[in-house]
Amino acid sequence: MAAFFQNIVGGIETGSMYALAAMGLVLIYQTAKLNNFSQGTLGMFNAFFCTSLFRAGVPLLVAILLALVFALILGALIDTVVISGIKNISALGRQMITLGLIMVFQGLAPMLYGTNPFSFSKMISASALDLWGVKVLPNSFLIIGLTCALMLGLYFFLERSNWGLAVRVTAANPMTAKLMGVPIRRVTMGAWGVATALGCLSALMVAPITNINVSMMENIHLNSFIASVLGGFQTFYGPVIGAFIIGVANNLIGYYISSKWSLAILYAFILLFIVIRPNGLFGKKTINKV
Amino acid sequence: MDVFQKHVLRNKYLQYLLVGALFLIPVIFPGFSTSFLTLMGGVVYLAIAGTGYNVLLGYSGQISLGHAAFMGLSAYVSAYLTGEMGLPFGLSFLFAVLAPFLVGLLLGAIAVRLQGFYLAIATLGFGEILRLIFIEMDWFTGGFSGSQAKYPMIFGARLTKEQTYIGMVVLMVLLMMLVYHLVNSHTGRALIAMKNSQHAAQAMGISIFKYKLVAFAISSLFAGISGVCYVHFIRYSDPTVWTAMLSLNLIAQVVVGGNGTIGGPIIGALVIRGLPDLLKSTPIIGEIAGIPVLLSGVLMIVVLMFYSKGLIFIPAGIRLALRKHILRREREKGKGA
Repeated sequence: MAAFFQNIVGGIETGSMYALAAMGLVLIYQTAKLNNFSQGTLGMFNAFFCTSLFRAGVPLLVAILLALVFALILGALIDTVVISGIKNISALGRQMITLGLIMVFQGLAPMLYGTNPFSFSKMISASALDLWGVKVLPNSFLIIGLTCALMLGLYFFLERSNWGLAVRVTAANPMTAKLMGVPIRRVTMGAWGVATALGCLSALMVAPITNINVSMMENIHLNSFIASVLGGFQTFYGPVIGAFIIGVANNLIGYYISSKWSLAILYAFILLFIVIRPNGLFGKKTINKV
Repeated sequence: MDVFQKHVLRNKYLQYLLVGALFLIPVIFPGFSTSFLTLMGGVVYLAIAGTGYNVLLGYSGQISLGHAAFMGLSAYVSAYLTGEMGLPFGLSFLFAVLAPFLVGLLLGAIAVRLQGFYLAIATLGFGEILRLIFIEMDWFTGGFSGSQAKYPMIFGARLTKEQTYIGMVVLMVLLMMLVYHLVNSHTGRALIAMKNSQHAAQAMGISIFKYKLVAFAISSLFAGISGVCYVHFIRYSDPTVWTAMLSLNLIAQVVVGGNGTIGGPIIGALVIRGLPDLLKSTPIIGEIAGIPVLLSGVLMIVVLMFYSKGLIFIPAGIRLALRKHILRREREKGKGA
């Protein structure tokens, strides 16, 4: 039984990283109506930035905060300069711009920080606690706690504040929102900023496991996309729940069925699920008017 | 002159043949290095895949992020059949192309129920499953260490690198002609109708189920041909090549070159694949890590920002601007007089 809970705790920990990234994806998707393929790469770049600050002698916590602020500004800047500022472009073309961004930042990272990976230590390096036979690292508590706190914070922001209302209105219908006087340019700018910061946080969480290198976010980025679809893209909470499901299910399948094939089996199940329920777990059916 | 323009310059077949002839320059004229030929081979196999992908994205309005895995599938099948089983190249080519074709049909059946973003990610998951199979089924694919292949053997003679390249270019031109025929046929018009509005197409009696299958099957077939070209030209295949990033690059190639045009994917392949590699081999720029990718990314964003219809429309755009300019000048002259 201990092994079962051990796997669940591990799954929630990886699920947290997916959840942060998925939240970023859905924020941008809902407000700007595009898939941000560059989220993982931006997270990687910001993680490099954070480590370079740390190496220059800035205390870790300050470096992380500075990196998050930098990510916020970078995201907002990207939105104003290359995404929202352009007229006469198809929705697909806009998404392809984020693909160009991948190339830009994958080129910038080795240029500025060299080709060698950076190592990154855990935020709390204390040894594992034993809770009724389940060993949990304090760092895992931090990751899970931080993610849950952020998700709750975002939830209350979206549901209770005026700006949250603006985000939800923009998500429901950008055109109407604009007519009602919602500053949708500022909403998408904010969404891009927050999403990039969330991606940066997700990258910093995975950094102790993978080291900081150009391809560190590939796995998280991919799984956060799949989590968004599993949870349903029309809601803000669906992708987060999807992310935790993927994290936990991957661990359980890996432990009980086959560690070699766990991801393949999981993806196959998700694919089957999506074919049966084309809008994900919590998604609503969108009806196109002819 | 008019007759010449009408019958020779506007003739699509001659245009495609001309494109093929341009691609053959590095083989015909001496003075090009082998590494340049490898680079151009990379462009040609992507151009083939892009031509097929264009049928899916540009003409049918469907999206897939699984096509890179289809290319990988046929590459592995062809490498396995010609290597381990010792089958003749022609036969193994047939089987290798059939495999992604059948898988593409399956994906098309899934696509009937999904739309837009959900379709993109479902196909992404599908591609990832295939890629995990490439990694784990090492008796078939060689796992992470990859699988080896040789240049194709045709009628008992082993082709050289140059001859393989020529074969690929010929294939590319033939496939361009094929797509031209396809989009100007009944099937092509049905696909375009489906792209513009599914409901309207359905109301006109076009079976969405059938034509989604057709679009996916054709594009997977082309992806398969491209995969076979890759494995017998590069002579090596490993799972790091067939990632979702390659599928995204296929989309980028079609969009940057010109969505829904036959020449677009070819131009896109030159820009998206050829340019970074070319920059890597130039003296000063290529020596700093990251600059080639950075410059290509910047170029791609700039093209999309200012010319989102695609590079292929630039000559037409220039012609239009010139004509407007001349008209305006004439009008001003008229006012002056």
